[in-house]
Amino acid sequence: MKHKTVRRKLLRYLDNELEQDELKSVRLHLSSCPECNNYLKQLEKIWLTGQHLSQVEVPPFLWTRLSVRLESETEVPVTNQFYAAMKLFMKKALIPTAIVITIFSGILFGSEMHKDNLKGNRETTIMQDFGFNYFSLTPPGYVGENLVDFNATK
Amino acid sequence: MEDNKINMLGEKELLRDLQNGDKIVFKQLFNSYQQLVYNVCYHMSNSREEAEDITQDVFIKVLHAIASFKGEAKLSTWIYRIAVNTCLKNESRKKLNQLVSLDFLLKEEQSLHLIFDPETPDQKLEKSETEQIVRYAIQKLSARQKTAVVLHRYENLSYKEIARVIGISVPAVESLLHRAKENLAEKLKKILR
Ligand SMILES: [Zn+2]
Repeated sequence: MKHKTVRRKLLRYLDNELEQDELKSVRLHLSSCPECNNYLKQLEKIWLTGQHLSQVEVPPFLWTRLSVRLESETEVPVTNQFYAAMKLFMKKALIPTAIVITIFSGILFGSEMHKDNLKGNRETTIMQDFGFNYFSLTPPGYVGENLVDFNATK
Repeated sequence: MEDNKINMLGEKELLRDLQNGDKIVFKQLFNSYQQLVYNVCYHMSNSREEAEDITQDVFIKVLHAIASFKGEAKLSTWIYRIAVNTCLKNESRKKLNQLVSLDFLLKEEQSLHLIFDPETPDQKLEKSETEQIVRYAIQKLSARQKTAVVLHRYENLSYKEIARVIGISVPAVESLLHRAKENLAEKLKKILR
């Protein structure tokens, strides 16, 4: 058996894991090789002594550190906090406000339309209130075709 | 041993409470398994600092995954598996970072220096330094071989238990440890030269 082949088997030799034929060959080689014998002694020292050093002292405050991490993980991140706040604001304030504005402007608009119908001249009222014809976004003074027709039918 | 403590509480009850998010029970679980998890993480990473961080990661994973634990394996086996996987993931991330930053050559030099640190007090030398050499050589094994050696050498797990943790057959564990020990003998020769 070559030195290298024997060396590779030495840990298993120390752990009594070699098969009968392997064991025979290794023993035969060791009986005549000081180099491999020397290595076996080195291995024996480091491999068998450390086997019982298995327990490592757990660092103190490990639970405290873990708790801090767990708490920070359950906290909502800053960006999420912003979106959460926005969502809450939308839900609690913005949407009800929008509903109220819509209702009031609906009432206002409805009453203006009612006034128009009473006066019989819708265009005049709009022009008076807003200064220009907001349906077609044209400057004051310009009267749209439909509205002209509308007036014409009157 | 840890399993016995948990058995006294009743594993089913403990699991039910854990799955309901009971923090006190989670602390009991932590107290019972912190030594096991830290031990594995330390021997897998060969660094106390990393072991501490990975141990925390492991317990966070345990907490998140406890709802999916069906009790098919022993609780300790399941925790061992999470610990080993977390260590291996951490290791591959570390390797990738080192490769990207190209400081792995420096790290290699530092690791060897650590082993043969001349400032290590003489009285500590015998046990700690020889064991450091073994731990250093174990780090050089492939992920699977390293896992098998750590569970066998430092956790005293049987081949059957190792097979359950890694998810392979008992003969596969035998052959894994066989190859691991042969490689280790080779690597130790280079270090002790
Ligand atoms: Zn020889």
